Amino acid sequence: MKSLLAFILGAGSLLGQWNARDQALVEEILPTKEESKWLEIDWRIDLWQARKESAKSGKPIYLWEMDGHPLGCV
Amino acid sequence: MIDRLLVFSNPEVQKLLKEDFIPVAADDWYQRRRKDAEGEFFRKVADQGPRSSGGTRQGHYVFTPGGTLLGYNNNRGADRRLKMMRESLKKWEELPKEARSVAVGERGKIDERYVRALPDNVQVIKVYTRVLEKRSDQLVALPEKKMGTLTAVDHLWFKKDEVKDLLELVKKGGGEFPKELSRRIARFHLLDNTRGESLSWRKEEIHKMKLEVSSEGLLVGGFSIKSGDEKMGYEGEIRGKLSFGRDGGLSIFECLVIGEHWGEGPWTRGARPGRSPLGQVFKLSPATSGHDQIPPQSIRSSSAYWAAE
Repeated sequence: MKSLLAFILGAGSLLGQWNARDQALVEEILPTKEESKWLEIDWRIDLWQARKESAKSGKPIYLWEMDGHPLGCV
Repeated sequence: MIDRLLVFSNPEVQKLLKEDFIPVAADDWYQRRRKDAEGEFFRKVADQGPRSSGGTRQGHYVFTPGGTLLGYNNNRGADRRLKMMRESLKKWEELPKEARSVAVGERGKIDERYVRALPDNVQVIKVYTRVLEKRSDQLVALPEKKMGTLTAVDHLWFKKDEVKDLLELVKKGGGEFPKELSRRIARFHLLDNTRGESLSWRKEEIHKMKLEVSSEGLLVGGFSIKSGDEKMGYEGEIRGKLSFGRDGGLSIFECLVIGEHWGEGPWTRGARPGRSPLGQVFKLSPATSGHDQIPPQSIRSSSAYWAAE
């Protein structure tokens, strides 16, 4: 049992990687670099905290409000 | 969510948002319902714009910390959004200093019915979904970047206690995933949300959901999900891997889901005809960024999410 537990706990580097075909599929599905650019913006997710930050920093609030969270959902 | 590509990837929009605004994103479904100080504040802002009555208050708002609306726009073009942002900034600069730096008090008691902050005892798994097509005998993303061909993102939440149960399962030699977890994945995350908000599956629509983990942490499974009238469904296979850290939490969770989806829901119109390939990747997230802490779309009914039948 000890050796099995050690294997599980340290398995991160021991588990098999995706085969080439699956790796290609994973890359097709994940967002491309171009599709991820919008995440370069430091989106806050707490409106009340954003109010405090706005008052302190002297910058207005930009709110992106969608039915279904704009940073998730779709 | 074409805004992500057309507007928020635009260099001018990015520069303005990074340098001159406090950017924040929120789910209107919760915000417009909240009966607390934050909900009241948001509605006070929205009521100054064109979405002042009844249902949705979706859109892009610029306002002061005290709640004075400076601009509103709901177009999907960078030029019109930039125009609104610049006009709003001009109004901001013309305001007296005291209107720009009001004291913001404590938020008070939160309306828990409509708040789903990431709990401390939860691990987050990002769920990426994209429609695929077969080309030269390979499944690939569609070349045109438009609404419906981009990768959709959602979040799967596992409680740390549930992860411990998984660890025990693996230590005992593996076996079938705990039912609550496999049902949570099936009903709330095996969805085509690439064209909009997808409805969760009902329990009776899950005809098959089998997910097993081996003693080596390898995951394998398959599923068949169909609406009652069979106009919508999703069938496919799951394979992946998981691993645990020294604290017993997940250190790796990666799954590849490949299947065929058909049909559309009320907010996912425009599906391709018939069965078409859909791919999903589930990947553990450290949840250190705000955008990784967004609640699962289907957790609006949290009791159903946590105890999926």
